[in-house]
Amino acid sequence: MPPTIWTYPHRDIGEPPLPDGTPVRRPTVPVQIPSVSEDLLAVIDSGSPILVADAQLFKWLGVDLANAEPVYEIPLGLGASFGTVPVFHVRLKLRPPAGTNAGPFEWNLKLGARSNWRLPFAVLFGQQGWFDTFTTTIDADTTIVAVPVA
Amino acid sequence: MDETALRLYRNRWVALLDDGSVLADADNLDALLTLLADLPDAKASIQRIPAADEPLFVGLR
Repeated sequence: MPPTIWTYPHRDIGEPPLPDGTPVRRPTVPVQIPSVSEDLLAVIDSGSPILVADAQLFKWLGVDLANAEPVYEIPLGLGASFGTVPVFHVRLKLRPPAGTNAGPFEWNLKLGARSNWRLPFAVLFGQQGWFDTFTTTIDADTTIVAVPVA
Repeated sequence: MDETALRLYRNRWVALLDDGSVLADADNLDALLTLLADLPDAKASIQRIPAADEPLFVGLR
């Protein structure tokens, strides 16, 4: 059975426009976590080998950062700062685009916990955990995600 | 993005409703998620409004 195709328009998340006035629009998808009905904004970055998120999110994902054993740790530069990031197994739900008559798609992934997070989104999706799960096509206006059939 | 939200909530975590208005805000993600857990379910999107002079993120290094 072919995968389901979900298309998400790029989103202006309030970043200052480029010096020539061009708005900054990011490839984003909405994800859901347990206990919270609202969506978290995730930006897709094909150049990132891993997936990483604000460390404050992990309590809500059931991971006690002070005591849980990470799958591994990796030195990581993110924006202007640098640090070692522990990576944990978690589960997230990808919410379908508005107007789609489908439930969210839940999957397992490895997610790095980055402290002192200063980005305007909560999660960054890269290669291992996103692109190896969802065939993703990004053009100038949209992100097209092939969602596996459960 | 709604101009009022941009002006009032720069450098804060917000839950944005579809019409661009702000359902809740806090100075960090954990505080915002705690606030939202006590509110009725709503269709909102969680992000941080960047500061006006914030450098543009171009990826991991």
